[in-house]
Amino acid sequence: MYVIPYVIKKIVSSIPVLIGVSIIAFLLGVVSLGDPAREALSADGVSTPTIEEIEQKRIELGLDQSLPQQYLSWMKDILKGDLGRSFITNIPIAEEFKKRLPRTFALSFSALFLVIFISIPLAVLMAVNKNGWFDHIGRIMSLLFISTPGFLAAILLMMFFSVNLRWLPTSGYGTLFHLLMPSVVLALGTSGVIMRVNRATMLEVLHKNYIMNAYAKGLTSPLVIYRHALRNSILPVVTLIGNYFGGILGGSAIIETIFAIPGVGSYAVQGITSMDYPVIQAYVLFTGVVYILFNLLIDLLYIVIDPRIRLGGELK
Amino acid sequence: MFRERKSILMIIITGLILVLSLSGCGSNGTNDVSAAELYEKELVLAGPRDVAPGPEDAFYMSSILYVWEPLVAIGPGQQPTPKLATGWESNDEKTEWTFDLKQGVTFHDGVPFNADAVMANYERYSNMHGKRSSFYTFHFTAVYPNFESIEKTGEYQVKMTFSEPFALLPYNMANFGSAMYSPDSFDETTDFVTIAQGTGPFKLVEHERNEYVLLEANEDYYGEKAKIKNIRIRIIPDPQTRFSALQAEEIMGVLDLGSLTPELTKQLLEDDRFDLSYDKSTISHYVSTNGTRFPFNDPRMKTALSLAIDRELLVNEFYNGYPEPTINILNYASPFAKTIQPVYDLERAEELVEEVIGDENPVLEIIVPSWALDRYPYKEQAEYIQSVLTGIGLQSTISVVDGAAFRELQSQGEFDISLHIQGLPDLNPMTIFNRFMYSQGSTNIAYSLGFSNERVDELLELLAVETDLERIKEMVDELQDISAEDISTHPMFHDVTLAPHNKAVANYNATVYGVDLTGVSWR
Repeated sequence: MYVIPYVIKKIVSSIPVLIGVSIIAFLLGVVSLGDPAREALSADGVSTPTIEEIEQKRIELGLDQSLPQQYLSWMKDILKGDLGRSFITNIPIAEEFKKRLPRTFALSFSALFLVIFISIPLAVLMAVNKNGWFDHIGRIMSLLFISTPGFLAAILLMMFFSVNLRWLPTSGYGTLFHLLMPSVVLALGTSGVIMRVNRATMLEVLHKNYIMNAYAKGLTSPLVIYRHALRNSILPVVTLIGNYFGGILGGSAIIETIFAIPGVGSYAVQGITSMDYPVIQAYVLFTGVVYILFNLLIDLLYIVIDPRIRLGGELK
Repeated sequence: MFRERKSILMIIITGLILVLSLSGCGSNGTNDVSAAELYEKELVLAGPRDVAPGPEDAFYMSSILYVWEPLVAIGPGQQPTPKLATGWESNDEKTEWTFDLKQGVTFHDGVPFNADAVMANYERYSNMHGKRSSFYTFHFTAVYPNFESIEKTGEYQVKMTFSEPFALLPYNMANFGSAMYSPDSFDETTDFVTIAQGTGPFKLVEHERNEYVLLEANEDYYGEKAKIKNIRIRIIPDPQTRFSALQAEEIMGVLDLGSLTPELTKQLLEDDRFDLSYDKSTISHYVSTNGTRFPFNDPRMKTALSLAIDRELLVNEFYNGYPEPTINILNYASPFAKTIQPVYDLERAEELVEEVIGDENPVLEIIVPSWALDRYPYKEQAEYIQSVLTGIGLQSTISVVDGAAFRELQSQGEFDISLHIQGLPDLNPMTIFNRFMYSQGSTNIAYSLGFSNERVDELLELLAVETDLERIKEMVDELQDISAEDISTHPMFHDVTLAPHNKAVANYNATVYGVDLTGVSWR
């Protein structure tokens, strides 16, 4: 009943954000140092194009037009579902995205799964055992997760699980085993943050009167923690996960390159190093849209988690 | 009872020994089976980039896959050598070239290789003006300058005609310059419509872009057949991951440019399971200076820098001593290259710097492309150059910038020293001299080298129409001598192709451009 107008309101308010994202995506490609025409002609690494060849290429790629003209023509194609072609390979970007997206989503969502189903239970246990050995170890671990750079974690995991134990493949894509290490690496930083935040919110809730009341009513500890404490402490964590999902999606670019997963992230890395404007622009636009949609989903989740939003809150 | 049991036991043991002995006698048959099994066992290798970018690439795939073959190949001593063309001859003016073609060859799709197939391929090439490729951007007019026509003069013979003499045609045609594909595998757009079908010892049977390519031995190959049925080449962009994959024995070897950094190769060889093969590479490493602004617009400063760099030390410290230090601009894989020993004279360098710099105190900017850091120890190399500059009284800063920004800074002349590589695109020495040393050369301008030498321009103009190979060699020799004296760019060393591999694989031999996959077998 309340959900539909709520969603419509959220979608409408996303439109100016999307326009802003599209302008930033377009400008990011344009303002970077380098000439895409030269890059397109030097893709083999041995050729040095002449000034005339570069000029010719600029015309061919439409780079001789004014910036507003380029933006409008790009937007027109985007609205028709055409992301353009790569300046370097001449392969349609939509075709590449279609092939690569499932891999990036598989990686991002498995990382998100780890963040949710490992860091939240750990945070609850830490809060329940406040200042106990589990809490101390948990806090140290969370700090370690936050401060370990992804590439270092990747190398260490690879050396241990692939080179020494031979349990997991070093790289590639295809099975769940291939996804395990990259997902863990991608989830590490966010997990550390979630563990600390959720522990703090849980501790705050555990001292509320209604928790003591629940215990006084004779409810079992797991029931009190799950039904009363966790539900009331989770809202800020859900918001945080929404914000961090952008980080997970962005972080997948490096992780995909390290673990040789040909997803959208590694495609963007290739695009950035070769000044492939259409690829960079499509990637920024894509991450922007996914980020907005994911946060819309998070907003809807609020309604499920916190009935007060449904009863009044934003809709009032 | 006990004795009876003992006898039975003795009979069983004797029987077993007999069976085992007999099975030993039949060892030939067993070996045959194991050889067949080894042939069938898939070999997995890896490289840093996709070696088969696909239909939009001018060649579909790299020559290192041994799927397509050229009319003219690179032979011993890096000389043009017959492949699908069995021989060639020209008129005295070097304007008409006749090529005899190999008979009894078919493409992987069953289409016969003959003059018609060659004509179709040249029809495609003549429409390729700057056709994209990850390996060799194809400009028809650059590979075949002054081309007039090609005609079929027999079932297995074609004739090319040029409006101007072209004595170095076979040098231009070697390898990428004359790759042959089944006419059924491409269309009038010059793109491929199927997996490219060549005539080589391997067929490309599966290709997942940016993931892997799967090769299968061509059992109908006319020449020496491959010793392994299937070779899978995985694409693993990160050097550290390739290193781990080798250690985990997921891959048995690496190939292609920058397959493993010298440091990682050294670490890998500390493990007894691994071995290394290496050969000359077409890649040379250079330090280019900005000749369009002070202080390197003064040739004495270029000489000073060249004299101050200890190339032997550079090669030994950072590249395990495999490459060849040089001051010759022409890569040693060229059939025309000669050895020019570098000179290291710090005292003279200091004198020259003092003459040019005087009381001024410029801070020089060294730029390094970020992509190179995954392949070569360029950060360390830049720091070495910085220490050399400090030694001769010059301050400097180092900036690592991405590839596009690097090329932009080079072309805008907003740097003093840049570190880069240059590959030898073909066997024709003119290509490198024209680009770097001709006053209007594309690299000379794009890298802000600011180089100009009247004699060089004159020699390049003469070379373009010279028909006598001996005379060409003399002129190329002179150009190489000039390159060492009047510096356009500073060659540091000619690199090697490194092919580290697991010892379980035999004959994993590095070549100028990759690994000889046809000879590779399991031990």
